[in-house]
Amino acid sequence: MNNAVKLDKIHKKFGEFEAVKEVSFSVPEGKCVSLLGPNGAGKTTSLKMIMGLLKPSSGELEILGAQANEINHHIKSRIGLVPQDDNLDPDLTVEENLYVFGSYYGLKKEFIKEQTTKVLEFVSLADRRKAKISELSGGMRRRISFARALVSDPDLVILDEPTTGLDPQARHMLWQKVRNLKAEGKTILLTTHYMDEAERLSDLIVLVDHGQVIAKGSPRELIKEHVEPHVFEAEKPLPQGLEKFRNEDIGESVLIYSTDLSPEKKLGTFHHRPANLEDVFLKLTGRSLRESN
Amino acid sequence: MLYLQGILAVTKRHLLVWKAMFFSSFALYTLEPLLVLFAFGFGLGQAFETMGGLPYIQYVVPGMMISAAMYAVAFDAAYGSFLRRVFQKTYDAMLASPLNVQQITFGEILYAMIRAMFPASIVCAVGAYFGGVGSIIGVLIALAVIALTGACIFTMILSYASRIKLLNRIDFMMPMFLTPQFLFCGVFIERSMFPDWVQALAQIFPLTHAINLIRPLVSNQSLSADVLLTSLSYLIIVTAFFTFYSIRGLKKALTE
Ligand SMILES: Nc1ncnc2c1ncn2[C@@H]1O[C@H](COP(=O)(O)OP(=O)(O)OP(=O)(O)O)[C@@H](O)[C@H]1O
Ligand SMILES: [Mg+2]
Repeated sequence: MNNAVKLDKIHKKFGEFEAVKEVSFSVPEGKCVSLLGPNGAGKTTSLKMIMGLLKPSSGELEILGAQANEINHHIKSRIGLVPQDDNLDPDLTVEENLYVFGSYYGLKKEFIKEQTTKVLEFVSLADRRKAKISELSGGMRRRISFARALVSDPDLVILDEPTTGLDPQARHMLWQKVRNLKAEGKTILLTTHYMDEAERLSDLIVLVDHGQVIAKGSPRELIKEHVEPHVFEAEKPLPQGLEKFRNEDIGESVLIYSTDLSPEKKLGTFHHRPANLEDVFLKLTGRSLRESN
Repeated sequence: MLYLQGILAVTKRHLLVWKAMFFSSFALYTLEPLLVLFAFGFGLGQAFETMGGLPYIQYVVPGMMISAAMYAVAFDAAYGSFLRRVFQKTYDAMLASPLNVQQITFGEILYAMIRAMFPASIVCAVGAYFGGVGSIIGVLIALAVIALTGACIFTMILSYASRIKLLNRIDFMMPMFLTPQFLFCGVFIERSMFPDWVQALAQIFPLTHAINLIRPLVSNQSLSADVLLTSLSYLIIVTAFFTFYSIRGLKKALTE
């Protein structure tokens, strides 16, 4: 299978600070890959390098079959980006925003018109086409950013935290849209801080921390490989006799990881659930909150 | 072809935003120079009957045309470009599309040329009503010179503004670049009325050269080949030089 995106030992320095130390991964055509990691891990920086918005300090980058230095109008017109921070034109209407953006791609007026109707329906905001961006709520703007990325009907869609700030309905809607895009054969690369989202949507997860890839695999593989299948959430402190089990202090309560149901007998009130991607994230990136570097 | 289309798309985006903000920008960049024109035309017109061999109204209209253009373009180059680059991330949005930094810069410059001609035309129309215009053909050619001067001033400022990290780093533009041009480059008083060193210094500013060309054109006086050659080459060379530096500055700021 061909790769839509391939990063090979990508490295990025801002001055003396190494934001991305060494990142290598591929996004196979037609698949959905999620880039996960704590704040400041280097996700946005990696996506920007893929988009050509930042120059890597070293390493090889291949996008839709072209090397980084061969990326031309034709290649870029096949990529759509939802940036982490919205950069819509606040003084223009929704429709004008989409029109202006489509014209950057050199698209014909009629085509942009058709696409505008289609993508606004896609994000359930068709009734707001005449509204100014500055009059929309934060979540609506996010959805317009998503719509804008699709105006050019790209083959590769890159989404940087697309669902941050969305209400539950809108998140479900966006997930459905991402699945629809995949069904149309498009390639998706996204970042998110919602582990359930990543688990639902991704064929492949790339976990990064401190500018390095620390794990790769399908959600199932990662869970199986890195954490025990049973998780018990109980009140602190950790009850006596359970010290031999791996546990994570998550503030209010404690998570106890086990290969079987044996901790059950020693616990009073508890909540039992199967291990999920969040447990992998907690284990591999460490519990302590990342303040700064 | 695609390359040119991209440039025009950038310009068109700016025009749409301008249209959306039209009334606030109209007040600032068009009404204000009209007020100044009125005050100088009547006020100084009483004091000097003629200036530089022209009736004062004919002297001051071309001056106000170019100074109105200068202010409109300068503020967009300084604050507008910072807004687009840092606050609204408009350039990032453009770069995520197939557009490149060169196209963005050329689209900006084209927009600056249009922005320069707009207030100049309004000032000219009002000035013509009071008898401040000598030749229509001259005005049309002068507007082309104003567009070029707009590009010149725009790129001079953008090449600096594209490199700053804090907005207040450009505040010196007003006292060091705009006001001296307004006062000492022959907008409403002949440069020859100032000491020699001021006159010499005025030669480094684009407005001096713009006025050398525009005033004879609008008032229908002859333009010496010498002045034409020097001032036109100044504007073209300086614009080319700072266009190059603006592209470099934006490229560095946006992709490194
Ligand atoms: N332009 C820049 N100049 C200097 N440092 C930068 C720049 N952009 C990002 N960084 C630094 O690089 C590191 C990675 O940033 P990045 O935005 O890629 O993180 P992220 O993984 O997207 O985080 P988040 O989840 O918070 O969005 C951070 O430490 C950040 O401070
Ligand atoms: Mg980020």
